[in-house]
Amino acid sequence: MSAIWNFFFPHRGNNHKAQIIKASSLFVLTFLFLVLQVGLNFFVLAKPSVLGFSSNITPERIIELTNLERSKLGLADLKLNQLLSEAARQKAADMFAFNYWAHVSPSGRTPWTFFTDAGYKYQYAGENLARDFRDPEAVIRAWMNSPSHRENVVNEKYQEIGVAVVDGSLQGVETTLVVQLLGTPYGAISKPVEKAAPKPAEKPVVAELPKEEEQQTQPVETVPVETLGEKKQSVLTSPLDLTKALVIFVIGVLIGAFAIDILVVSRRDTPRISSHSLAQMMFLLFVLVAGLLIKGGAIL
Amino acid sequence: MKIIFEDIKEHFVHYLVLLFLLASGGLAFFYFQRFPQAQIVSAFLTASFYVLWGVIHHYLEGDLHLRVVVEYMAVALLGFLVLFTLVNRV
Repeated sequence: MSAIWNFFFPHRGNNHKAQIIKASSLFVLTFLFLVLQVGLNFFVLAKPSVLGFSSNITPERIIELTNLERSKLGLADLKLNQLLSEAARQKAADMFAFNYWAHVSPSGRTPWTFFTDAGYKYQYAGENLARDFRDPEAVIRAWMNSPSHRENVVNEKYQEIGVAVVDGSLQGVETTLVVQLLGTPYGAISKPVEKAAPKPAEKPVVAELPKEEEQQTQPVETVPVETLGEKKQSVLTSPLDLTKALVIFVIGVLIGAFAIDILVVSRRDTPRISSHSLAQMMFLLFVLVAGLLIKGGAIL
Repeated sequence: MKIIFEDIKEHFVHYLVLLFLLASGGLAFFYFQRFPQAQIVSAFLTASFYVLWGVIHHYLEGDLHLRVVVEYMAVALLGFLVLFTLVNRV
């Protein structure tokens, strides 16, 4: 009991400053936090079924939400095309197999290669990627909040869609990849557009992609796709959620300790050389709020 | 609460500067949420400026001491490492 008193309450015995908010304890706390994080990384590698990443994203829901956004602007729904879905699956498998997060693979395979390899002859083609999201709504929201991705989603040139949602390990991290391919088949009648007549195989509006080049005819190895679209068994929790819980606990306890310090020391009017507990509280609140607002997920 | 308000009233401008600093850091951190490296830089700069605020504040108050600086650095380091870890977990 006296240990708790010494740790959290300022009194003469601890030089009128709670042990937990002294610099030495804070450095120890920092060290323990780092050790725990390193331990967590090892645990994730050893037991991915317990501590990993899982999501409730399905291709059907992504397509539904995409068409919902389009309908808000009076655009026609995109029709599901199995060839595009297959191309999306191949793209996701390729990213996992060759461990990259990019539109163009390290070997130079452009997204359009996956379209043509799946047998889809396109007039217009586009690709949106997403990873580490938990729910489909967050994926669509992220794409719609990005001008270039939004342009793909609500582009009136596109008529068909294919989506793949695949779990795997990318760059050492368990994740869910979402590949959205949009296209218009070659020769399809498209709505009149303001600009000049569309050219065959026009580059999509994703600005980051390089210009399309003539592809040499080489036999392309398709990566065998196993358990595509199958969801893994849900994990207990994710490292991010566990870390957030730990952060809430540690920062919460420290804020409480500083609050007690303010109340007790100010009331007693104890003279001491110390940092301002109120300022420390404000900084820790900033850390807590910033940490809680961190969202998972990345788009490309 | 009265004690807290009195403390703020006594050092109003200083706390206003601190609030601005933390609010700016928070906004930058949120703005760069899709850019982890920028988030880490924001967190580092906020933590660094926080320590600087502490040094300047106590210097102006006439009670600057190495122990005080170390305390601000300890909290800043913990805060930065917490955010660094969370950003890398995303």
